[in-house]
Amino acid sequence: MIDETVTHTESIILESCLFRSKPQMKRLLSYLIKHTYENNNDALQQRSIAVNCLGRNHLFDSAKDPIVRIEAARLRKLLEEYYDSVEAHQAPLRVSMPKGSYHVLFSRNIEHRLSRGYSLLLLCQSPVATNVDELWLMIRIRQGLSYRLNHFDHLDLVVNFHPEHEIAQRGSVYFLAEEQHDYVMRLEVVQDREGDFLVSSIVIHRLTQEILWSHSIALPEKYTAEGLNEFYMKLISPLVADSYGILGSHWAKSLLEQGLGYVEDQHLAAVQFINLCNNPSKLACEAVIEFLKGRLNKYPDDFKAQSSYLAIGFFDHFLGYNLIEASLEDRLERCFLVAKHAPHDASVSILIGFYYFALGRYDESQMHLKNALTLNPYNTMWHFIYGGLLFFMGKKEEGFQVISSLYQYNKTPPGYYFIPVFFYYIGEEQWDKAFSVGSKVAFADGLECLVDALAHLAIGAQEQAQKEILKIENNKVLQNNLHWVENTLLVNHPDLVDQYRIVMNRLSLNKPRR
Amino acid sequence: MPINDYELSKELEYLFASYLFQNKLQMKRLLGYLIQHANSTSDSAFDQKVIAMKCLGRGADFDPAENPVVRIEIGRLRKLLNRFYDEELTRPYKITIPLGQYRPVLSIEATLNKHKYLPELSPSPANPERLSVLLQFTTEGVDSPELYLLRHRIRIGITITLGKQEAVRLLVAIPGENGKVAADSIDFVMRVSLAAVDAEFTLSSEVCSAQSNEVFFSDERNLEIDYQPADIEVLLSHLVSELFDHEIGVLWRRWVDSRSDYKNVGALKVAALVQYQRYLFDENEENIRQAFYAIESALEFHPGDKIINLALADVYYRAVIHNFDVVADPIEKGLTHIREALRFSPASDNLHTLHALLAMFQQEYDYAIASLLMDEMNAGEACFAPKFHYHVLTCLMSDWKGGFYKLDELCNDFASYPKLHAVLAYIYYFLLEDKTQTLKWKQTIQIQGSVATVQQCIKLMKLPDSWSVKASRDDLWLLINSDLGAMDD
Repeated sequence: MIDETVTHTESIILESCLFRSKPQMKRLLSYLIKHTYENNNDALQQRSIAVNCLGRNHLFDSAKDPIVRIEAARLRKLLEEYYDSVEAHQAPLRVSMPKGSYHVLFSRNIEHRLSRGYSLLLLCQSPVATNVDELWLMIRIRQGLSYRLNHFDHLDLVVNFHPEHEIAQRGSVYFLAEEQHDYVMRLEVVQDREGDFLVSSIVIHRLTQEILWSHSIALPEKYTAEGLNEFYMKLISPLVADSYGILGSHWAKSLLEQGLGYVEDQHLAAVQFINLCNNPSKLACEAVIEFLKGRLNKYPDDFKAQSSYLAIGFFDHFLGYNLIEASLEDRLERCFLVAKHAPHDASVSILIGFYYFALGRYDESQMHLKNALTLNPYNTMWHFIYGGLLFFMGKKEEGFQVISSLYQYNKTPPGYYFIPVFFYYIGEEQWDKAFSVGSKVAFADGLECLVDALAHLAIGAQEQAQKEILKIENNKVLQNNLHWVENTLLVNHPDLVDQYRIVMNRLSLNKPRR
Repeated sequence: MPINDYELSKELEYLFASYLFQNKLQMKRLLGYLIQHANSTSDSAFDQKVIAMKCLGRGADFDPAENPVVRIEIGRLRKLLNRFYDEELTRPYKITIPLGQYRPVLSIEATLNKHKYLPELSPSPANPERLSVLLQFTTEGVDSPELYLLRHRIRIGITITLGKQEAVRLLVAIPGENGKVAADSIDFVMRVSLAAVDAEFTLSSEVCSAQSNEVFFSDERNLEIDYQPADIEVLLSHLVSELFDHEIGVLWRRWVDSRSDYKNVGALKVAALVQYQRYLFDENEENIRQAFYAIESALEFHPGDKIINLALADVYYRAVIHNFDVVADPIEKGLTHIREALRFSPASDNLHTLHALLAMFQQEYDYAIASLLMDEMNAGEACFAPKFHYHVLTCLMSDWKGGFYKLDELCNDFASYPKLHAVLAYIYYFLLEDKTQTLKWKQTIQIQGSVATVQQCIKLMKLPDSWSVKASRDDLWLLINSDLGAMDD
């Protein structure tokens, strides 16, 4: 029996626009699929194909008559064309014919359609001579982490539940990992003589065996649900949440270093977007937009790629790039369309919240941002965006509180986490704190110079501010005029806007002389 | 808006390369000619005689009154163009030849114009093995901030509750979107409407099938104006369970009817789940066997399918607890299967409960206890069936007092009493040595034919501490059997 998905794929291809009017191609494809599936090698020889399928007689000589090679090449090209077309997303399988043989290959087409992230194997273990307390805690942590990590859809979580793999063994990180796991996280629970627990965690990159994370934490004998929760957050926040975490940025970076040509199609959107979040620049944004347009043209149902596209609006707004030309209303409407099909996706809720914010509809914005926090309470990046947008809505104190509470989980968050905090201190006239936080902002084309400039402006050091702004202007990538700053970053600081204008005016007066 | 020549020539090339035009030289020549003159100011190029001479190889003696070739050929071209644009929905331009004229009209597609710089998004195809439902909200009367907030809470609540059910595919209608469901291959449409009446909110919901619009479920619930988030959880747990719960939900019965002779792609998976649902509606040995074999053959072709894997895990559990003869060594095989299934669905509450249940049957009590300690399990928004079996686990792990109380409360709450309820009630009162209650439940068990299930529970449960001190499992087994009048085997 031929697998139903194969027959279904075959019939879809045969009915497609490309194949419909080509009886010879249809006959050849059906013939090859049938005999490949039945593993009938004789039937897949040039001679058999020519005689049984292409209407040649027994005198056929493959050395003189290239008909099979020509028709196979045509079919190969046609199949490629078909899978590049919009119609192809109806086909559950991808049918291809590698050069050098007349066997066709079936691979899952569906996997290529939705952008995906990396894969993570979670192993939880306790010592050989374990006691019940260790075992219980280990099982709880395994379940708790599984539950939480499963909320992150940029990673593909696999958890090992085999009892024989629960025993701590040297090297298990290496020998239990399989080819499809990009990263392996191993946790070990050990109880000491006083009864307290030591939970150690290690994360490796399987391919290079590089250790990316190695920590241990003590839990009291009578640990509480809150204590466990804090433990989970201290793992999740730096490893997978903040700016996609150590794992996300490692994955994106290592794949980019390999070269985009080698990265599998369905990973590309996530790789590029994660990388963009960690090193935003106008050039990078442009490249990602170009790529996403192409991908969405090919797979218009890839809602993850679509939401990455809409998320570039963040950079547009806060860095003044203005790359997406559709109106904010259109983009908001599109977000709702994505949310229709992916109601569980917290990142889409964040996007809706952001676009409401950009449209100045703060109540709706807050509501949708909170929805995102309900859908995935474990992603501290969503908490940061919530806090940051609250801050720029004018709810400075509330936003500041939300963001400052995140530092307890991740001591070294991404540079942009400090931007709202920096403005908060400026507003509070706490100059030393503002300067120290400002120095941690390292993000996007010359943004750190801008932050320095604003800090200087705030204390009236216009000369210095001017120097910093000149640095940005000399940065060729960022050639826009810097008026967007007034409407975004400085929206809560009318006094700074005045000073900023004075400096900008003076600079533009100076320009012709330079 | 004018289309520049470059864009136009590209569009023509695309058209000519399509399978509709590829081999039709005459059509290509004709269209090329018409397009070339589309913007000319005079009409002379569109004279029938000129067209016949330039494109159709007729001589100067051509007389349109006698020879209809131009009209026929233009008619063919018109049809061809319409067919092309019917099939190619994504073209940026459209070329048409309106009836009554030969001058082609070039238009820029309006839909694309609207989202000019946003790439298109099309819905992903629906999987036939899932139940697809579209959720729509309406507000009656004046929309207030309180209603807005409530609507959001309900939307998120339903989303999260249904998110735990892999087998349900939820779509949430765009605000203001109505009626357009055909394109998304929806099975059911659920309309929820909210209103503020006096000191209460009213939440009314109705469900209809997407094809017929016939409403077969409607429901109205009230919520106090100063409700707590927990009140919403309770309310939604009821609403969602009554509709979507695999054991008591009305939608699954309809779904089974609509899928019972499904033949298209994914038929094996659909057949497996239809059999599984049929077994859940009527738990007996014949049905569980059919479900088991259907699931096995579906898994052969779709080994990684999460929904089917969960169904199989559930079938193993039920085969054990009801002592159905389906497969040899169900406990061991079930455990192996569940651990493998958990690998890819590590966050599934249902699988974790089933894992704990089978681990208990295997007398690996530590696993079962650790699962009972989880805060994430048994959270407020769960459906009826997962909660029910969680309480079964609690009882059988010999926490009868807490477990049975909750089980009973849950069943009363939903007015649904699975056979296991009576079984556990009987054992609970038997252990308590409450003679009247024992007698009462004994009758129920005998009527519903669950004696074998009682025996299985006694064989496999964790023995209460009081019993393990004063007597053995065998003693309890004998006592129960003699009380039930069952033969000792």
